[in-house]
Amino acid sequence: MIKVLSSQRSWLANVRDHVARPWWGMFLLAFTMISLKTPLQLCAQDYDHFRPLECVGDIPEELRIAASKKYAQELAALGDSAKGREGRARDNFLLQSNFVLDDMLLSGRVLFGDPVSEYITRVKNFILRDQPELQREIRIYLVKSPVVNAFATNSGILLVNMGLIAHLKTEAELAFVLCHEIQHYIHKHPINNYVNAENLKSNAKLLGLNTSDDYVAERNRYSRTLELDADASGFDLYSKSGYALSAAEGVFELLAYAEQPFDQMAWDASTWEWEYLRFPARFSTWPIEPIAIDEGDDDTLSTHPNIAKRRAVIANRIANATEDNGAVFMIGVDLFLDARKRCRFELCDLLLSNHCYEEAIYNCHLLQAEEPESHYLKKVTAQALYGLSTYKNARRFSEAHLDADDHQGELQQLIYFIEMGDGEFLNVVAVHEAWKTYLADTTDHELQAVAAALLEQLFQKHRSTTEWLAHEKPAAMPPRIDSLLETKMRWIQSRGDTTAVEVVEESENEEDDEGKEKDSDVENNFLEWALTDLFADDRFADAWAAQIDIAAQIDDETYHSAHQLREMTRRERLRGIHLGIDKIVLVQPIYKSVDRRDEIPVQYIASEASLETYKEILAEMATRNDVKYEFLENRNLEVGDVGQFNDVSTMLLWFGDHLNGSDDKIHLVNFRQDEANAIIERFGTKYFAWNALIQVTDRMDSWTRMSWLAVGCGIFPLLPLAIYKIAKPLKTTLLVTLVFDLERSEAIWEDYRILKANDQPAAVRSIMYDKFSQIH
Amino acid sequence: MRGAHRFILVIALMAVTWTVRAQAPGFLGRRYAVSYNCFFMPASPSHYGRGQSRNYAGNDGFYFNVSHLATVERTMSRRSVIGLGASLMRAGDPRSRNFYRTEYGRSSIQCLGIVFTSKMYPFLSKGWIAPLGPYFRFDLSYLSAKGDFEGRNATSRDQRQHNGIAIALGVGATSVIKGRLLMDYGARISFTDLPTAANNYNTLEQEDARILFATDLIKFWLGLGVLLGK
Repeated sequence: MIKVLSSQRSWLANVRDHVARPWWGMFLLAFTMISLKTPLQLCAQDYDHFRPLECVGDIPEELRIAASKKYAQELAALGDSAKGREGRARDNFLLQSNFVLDDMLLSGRVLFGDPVSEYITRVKNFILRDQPELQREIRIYLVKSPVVNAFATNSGILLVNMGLIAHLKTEAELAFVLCHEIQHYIHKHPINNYVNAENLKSNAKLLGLNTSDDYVAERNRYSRTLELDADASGFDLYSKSGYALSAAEGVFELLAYAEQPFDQMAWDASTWEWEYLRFPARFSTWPIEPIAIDEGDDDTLSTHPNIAKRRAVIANRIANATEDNGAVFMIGVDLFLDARKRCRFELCDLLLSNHCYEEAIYNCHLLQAEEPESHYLKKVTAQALYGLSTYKNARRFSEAHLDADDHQGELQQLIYFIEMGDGEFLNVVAVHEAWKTYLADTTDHELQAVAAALLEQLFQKHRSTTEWLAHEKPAAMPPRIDSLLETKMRWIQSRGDTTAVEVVEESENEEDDEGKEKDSDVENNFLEWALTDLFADDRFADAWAAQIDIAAQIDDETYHSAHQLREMTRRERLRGIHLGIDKIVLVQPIYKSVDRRDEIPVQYIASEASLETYKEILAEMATRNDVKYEFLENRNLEVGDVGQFNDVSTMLLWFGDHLNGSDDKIHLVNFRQDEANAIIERFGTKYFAWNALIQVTDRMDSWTRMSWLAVGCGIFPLLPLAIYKIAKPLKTTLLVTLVFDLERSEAIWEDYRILKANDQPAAVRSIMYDKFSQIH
Repeated sequence: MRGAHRFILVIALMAVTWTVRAQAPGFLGRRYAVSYNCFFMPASPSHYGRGQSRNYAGNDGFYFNVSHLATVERTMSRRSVIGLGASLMRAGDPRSRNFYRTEYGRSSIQCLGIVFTSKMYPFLSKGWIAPLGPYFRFDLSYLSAKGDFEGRNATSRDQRQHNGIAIALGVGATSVIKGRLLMDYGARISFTDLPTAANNYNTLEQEDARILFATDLIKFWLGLGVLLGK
């Protein structure tokens, strides 16, 4: 986009130079500005309906060539230094780093060409403006991760996390981080650190490193030296770049508060209140702890020095500097703020994916100060409440809920609030938020699915609540109730249910579900009119009525008993299933060979070569079963295939979210459904599959080995068999196939086969044929 | 012939059962395979019946008899294969070193059989799909045996015809080579029943039955086959 704008501007300048008459010039200027407006609008982000960032432009070469080729190139560049023990360590490092980095680059979480990456690249280019060679060698990629971090690789790739950009205060801080990472690259710190660790490992006894803690401490001592070295030399580069020297210290502030939200702003429960839904005071009377940071913590076992040491080095350098005339922004404050804002919005999405729901809500709360009407932020809040409600209803709340004692600052208030509510409370509040936001924009299908799922949950998990939730507002405004006793008394008065409190008291020490439900009903009766504003809308009223019908049907129908379900599962296992799929998209198949007996367990080169054979088998077996197929991969693409690259990224993130949020008890609605729907349309099928083959070779454990030896010695004719068994490595091959119905946002078939043998072609072909025959 | 009727009825019932019980096919589909199996039977354990006779081969050491089986097999499901074949077995052939000798002369037997084979591949959960991998085997055979007795010093000769049934149970494993060739190996035990006339104890007929039972009792096999179609 930047290229497009610059070319249009130069064309405009040429025209203005050549046109003498002022009115004609004005006309052309006006015409050009109108034509310029379109790309400007396209470039701008709509924060009301925020869309996640995508890759833009040509796919860089390093994302198009195989990792084995990159490894070979770097190995050749090493030359003679790849010989000897140290050379072998270098070789191992290059092998692992290239393949691991390749996996990272193709994981769907790495962005290039997007406005934020472009901005960081411009900062990098500005810093290295006098070193064009280095400027070209270092390439920037943005990583979709909420963690405040950046990495340098041996090949010159700098990976910058979105979490870091979201937490920055100034462009100068980014510049200092880049300078630090550039020094890691220049001084080859990653490879030197690895070689040092390998040397320590092989000479551990000689160096008196008797325990693993000794080894880790010594290894990390060297790593800390490298970090301090990168800080010092990075500051040299930074001081020549023109940025304000004093601003560099802000980076340590940023690191100190890296675990905290990017800002602090009071949160209170009134966010979700309205006229007839007011939370009792007990929900918000918890004291919050101020944030306390220990910058001088013990770093003996840490790879990085503590912040106090690092800050001291840089503060000293700043103090000794003769002058500090630099600026805090060189590329542009607007571009910086834009990049940071985009990353802060992206954080919402990333936190949702990681099931950090309370942090996602708080993140939205912070962003709403700037974008109060953003539908996206309201939607993320509703989605996060949905996640919390789902886990709470499944009685696995601790998996999704933060521990208030582990957090400080304003976020703690939100955590306390969520902690106070029970499943019924959370479900009702989530229904209210989700439906309110959905009814404001009924074109949002993602939110529609969430709202429907929440209502279904309410009817399935809290049926009694649905019976006493009022459909119409009361004639008079009810008084605010703060104490639990008052709450209980109101329940008795409103329903004449004198047994309610007795039930609550009796059930306190009993595991009685009925009693607990009653207890919950009584305590939450302030929710009575919570949904009355929604009932005023026919769409909600209809959805409610539909749920009543469904609930009645469920009552009438006989559920499959546990025995029947077991029998169905057994039959399915024996006979197989019949999915009836005619066309399927095979997304990014994976082949990994692991030999645990080796120094480097993952057989990278062999795995890469075998992947092609595995894909051939997939293709052949699909064809044999008359299943039309297409591969959707981001490996070996052409320069212009950025659309496909983005599709793969979307699918990988969709799969990741699904696998992260679904098991036998919980099924979360996928939050990337809009992107998924676009891909369904492009491929003409809603069925997508992910296939993986993992082969693991291991040696027999000593106990089994001894047992076989005893058998061989005891029963002499079995000795050859015993020797064979002991000598033969144990091979296990895992073949995974997950078939997704993207439209319904669910995995319709999950098939895991464990073959107690190596990946012999006949067995793999046999299993894959069987899988595709069931898919068809 | 009652045995033959029963045999055919059982085959028909089993075939129907296996055909309808599974939706998913076996190795690359429901396929036919033609295979040849060579059975090796250790002669040494064939000391049959109350010390009346002994294995002649026992004097020369451990020895194997050989029988042959050609089958056409059909993979019916992911776990089952059924087949029909013909077997040929010779035991106690006087021309070979491995014959059975009675106190009165030499007895040999030649046996032709129609064999219904069924294989069950139980390790589906471990990734083995018929006809690949380890399996259990059940064979039901209708046998037509011809016994031949030659008296000591060739003083007498007697030939007899018997019909009977054999049931065999075994374990084996199949490998598929190049997606087409089958290699098979395993071991089985077999129980052969050649009906003999009542009150005819210790006659030549009994002798034939014992020879066949002992010879057929334990077998190891090695087989080669070809998958047909596709």
